Amino acid sequence: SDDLTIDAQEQDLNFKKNTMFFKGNVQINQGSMKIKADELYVITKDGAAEKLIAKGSPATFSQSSSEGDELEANATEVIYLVNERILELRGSAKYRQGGSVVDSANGNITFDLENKRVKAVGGTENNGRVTTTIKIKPKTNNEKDSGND
Amino acid sequence: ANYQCQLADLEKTQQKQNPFLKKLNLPKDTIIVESDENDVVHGEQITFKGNVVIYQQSQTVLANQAVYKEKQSQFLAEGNVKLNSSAATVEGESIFIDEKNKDFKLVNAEYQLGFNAGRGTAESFNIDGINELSLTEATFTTCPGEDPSWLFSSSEINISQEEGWGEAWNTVFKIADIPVLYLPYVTFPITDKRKSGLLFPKLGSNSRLGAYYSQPIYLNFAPNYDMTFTPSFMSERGWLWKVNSRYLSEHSDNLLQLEYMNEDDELPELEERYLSFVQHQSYWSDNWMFQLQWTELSDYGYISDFNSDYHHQADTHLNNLAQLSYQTEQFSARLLSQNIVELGLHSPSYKVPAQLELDWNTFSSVNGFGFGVRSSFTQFENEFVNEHQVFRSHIEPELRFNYHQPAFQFEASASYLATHYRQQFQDRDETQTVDRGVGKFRLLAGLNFEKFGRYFGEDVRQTLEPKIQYLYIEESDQSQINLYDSQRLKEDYFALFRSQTFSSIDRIEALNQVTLGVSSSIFNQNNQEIFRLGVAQVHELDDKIDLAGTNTQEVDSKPALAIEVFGQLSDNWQIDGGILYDRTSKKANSGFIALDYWLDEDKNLQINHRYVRDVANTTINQTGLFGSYKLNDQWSVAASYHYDSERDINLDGVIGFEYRSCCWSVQVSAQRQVVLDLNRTDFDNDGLVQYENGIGINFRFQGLGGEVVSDISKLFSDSIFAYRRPYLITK
Amino acid sequence: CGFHLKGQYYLPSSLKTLYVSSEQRFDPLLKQVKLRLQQNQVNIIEKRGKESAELRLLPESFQRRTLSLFPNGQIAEYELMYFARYEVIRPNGDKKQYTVELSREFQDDPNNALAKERERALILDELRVIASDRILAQLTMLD
Repeated sequence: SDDLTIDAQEQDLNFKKNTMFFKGNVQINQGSMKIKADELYVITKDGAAEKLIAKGSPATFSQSSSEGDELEANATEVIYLVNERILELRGSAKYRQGGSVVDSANGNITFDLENKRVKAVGGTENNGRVTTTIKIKPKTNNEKDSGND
Repeated sequence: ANYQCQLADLEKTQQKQNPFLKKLNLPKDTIIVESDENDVVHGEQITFKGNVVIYQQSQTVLANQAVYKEKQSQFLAEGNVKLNSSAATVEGESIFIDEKNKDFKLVNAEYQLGFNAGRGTAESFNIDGINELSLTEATFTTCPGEDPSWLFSSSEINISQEEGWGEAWNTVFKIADIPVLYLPYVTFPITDKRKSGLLFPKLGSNSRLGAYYSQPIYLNFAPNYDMTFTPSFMSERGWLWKVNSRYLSEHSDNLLQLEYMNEDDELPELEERYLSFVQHQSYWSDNWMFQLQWTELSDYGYISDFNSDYHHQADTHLNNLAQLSYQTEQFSARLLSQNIVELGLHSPSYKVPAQLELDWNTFSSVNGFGFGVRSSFTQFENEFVNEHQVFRSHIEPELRFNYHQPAFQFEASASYLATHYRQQFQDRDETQTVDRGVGKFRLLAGLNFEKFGRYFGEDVRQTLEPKIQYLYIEESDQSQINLYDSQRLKEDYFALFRSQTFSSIDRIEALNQVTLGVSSSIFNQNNQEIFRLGVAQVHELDDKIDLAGTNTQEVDSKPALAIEVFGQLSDNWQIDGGILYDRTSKKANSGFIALDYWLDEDKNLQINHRYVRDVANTTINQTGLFGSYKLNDQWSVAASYHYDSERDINLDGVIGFEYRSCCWSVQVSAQRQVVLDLNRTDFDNDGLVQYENGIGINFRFQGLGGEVVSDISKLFSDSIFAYRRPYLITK
Repeated sequence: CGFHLKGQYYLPSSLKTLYVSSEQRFDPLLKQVKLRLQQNQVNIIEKRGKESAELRLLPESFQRRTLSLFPNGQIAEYELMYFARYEVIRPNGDKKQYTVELSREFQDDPNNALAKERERALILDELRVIASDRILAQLTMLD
């Protein structure tokens, strides 16, 4: 997979055994994916980053995609499992893609970037409800129905 | 338990919904879905699980889970689905929503309509983009609760909210779960703005018809074209078939009523009996109009036997006419052909094969002067009298001046009435001509006084209007002129200020008189007249010319004093009365008094007594009583009784009740009524009077048109003394 | 006793110029109402103006109620009820509807049915004159 770059104002590479710590305007890039946060913990295994835990108020995640409907998400905590390419957003997790917006209030959202699947589960706020807003694509001409558009 | 009983259920169902249902109004292209969790396959579909609520526009759909297909923009939701929209509240197993056309399709649904109390079940319940509902294998009723008193079950029901109409195929109509009627196709109103005649069977029995049952079936082909087919069976008479069709076009409205009975068991000698009634009005450009109103009867007793929607069962004649009118701002012309058909052995009036009226008048609002010429050219025909053909031409130039101020009106007019008659008689060949010219001068002045005050606790405006009229009509010899369409006009308060005493120009009475009158009225806030008192008196300036020798009709002196009172006497009492007193003979020509006791809309009593010394040579001395009382939301009782004290006979007596439940109401009435005897020529012989008594049952469905309201006055729709439906009176 | 001569018909300025129309083509009441308004200094315009109000007459309707019977049971007297409904539409579009209800007693005479039809036509014309007075009086009470 593409290489992963991280830059931040301060960093402590051996913050703890196989854990690095970054702080201040942290930016993570990997291919078309970008994460911004205030703090970042990187857990490494045999020297390669295995799990990133970014925290921010909120931390943001964005990914542009070929079909042009860019994905943007934010949450208080963004966890990225590099090898499985699974992204987990926790705490007032919300994302937008194409016309749709999913807001899990205080719940969390899991992105399976590999096969483009997203699961959202409600949290404690808004009595555990996930709110999805869908924008219906306007009818293309060939689908124009006879009368009642 | 009237309409509130439906509404109560409606609110109950609404509370059952989950508590955190928001009220949203979204733009057409936005949907908001709330769920416990969702699972998105980007670009493909979104799956929602757990208390799913779909908000779109002002509708909400609840379900256990739902799947949204993005490409086709379609939803499929399942598990105790509940749709809430203005059109209906529907519960079902599953719902399919096509977002592009905003079509909703529910399966195994139970629905409650949003615009009236209609509810029921349906195998499939669809709402399309423009709120048209279509149901298959569905039931429909407006009765609440588990076992509805009446129910439609049909293979297909379509309801168009916008048109206010529903139609159903293969309908079995059940009353208390017993199939009563099968209808292949039927339309029914869902709001009361349309004719709600359907399926309201009328049944009952009376001595005139025996046991009768009539079943109107209303077919609405288009908003401007409908037809009502009403078969009725009468045990004493047989089958009577009625068809009524109405057609409105941009330029005309047309009505055709055909009624046919091929054999009347009661009067077999009459063979087939029929009624045909045409009513047509058409307009082109703004100036031309043609109007036709024609009734043909098989025999003149038809209407008194079978009643009619367009005539009163006790009418004395049919007014058949066709007329073509042209009208501009100052000029109007009318070509009329009129044929009066008397019902009963009455002396027939002249027929008017043709009459042309031309009216031209100008009025200048600046100086108040106006000049006009009225003219009419009339052909009269009557084969039953010696003078069987008459041609009358009449010209009446008139100069008018009127001056109008709020406080003062003054009208002066001078006119000359020139008339030429050409008369033909059966017993001689040569025709006779008569010419007559009469000058006429009239002055009318009135003052308007006004004050504001209180009347029974309401701010009112009271008026006081003294009026004086001087009328001079030149004397002329009219001995050779018969009465073709002229008769003395009814004398009452209003008549004393008229400038003519006969209904047309065959008789122009010489007059030289002054009329003094004063009237006071009270108007409430929305300008309705709630009280009026009028007194008027005529003073002859010289004794009248004796018209003796002109025709046999003896002209008695004109009653000179008229008093008229109408209005509210107290919070509950209302009076309507009038008297015509003839000062020379010191006798009252006519008088009537009606007292209404009005507790509220549903509790009232009316007592009235009428005395008229001479109406068509008979004396009227009749008393009437009408009362209705609403016991509670369900029950109302009403009674009416009329007595003729001149001939000491009861004319009419009705007693009945109305029971209203949430979705149906029934009116049962017992009635005893004098039977019309059209074979009696003169009125005053006191022959034996026959009576007809009967029971009437009138069944109505409620909740179709919304408001459930007591309709107790309909209890008397068949009795003589009842309101008749608006009767189109042509000019 | 408190009566004073009726003051000027202060038609509100918004109703001084009026477009008068009728929903019923060939409406006999329309001619009479226009005449009465003109006599009371109302300026009647021929076309709907943007800033002027409109007086729109709705179709007339009639009803009959039997009052007494001849010995043979036919109707001797009935009450003729005349309903004139109309709308006042303001330039800003808001509409208010009014009804004038008048009634007269009418005696029938089966032996002179043609003359009675003429009399009924005469009474209807008289009722239309009174209705036009009532409409004018109502207009003066609007603001």
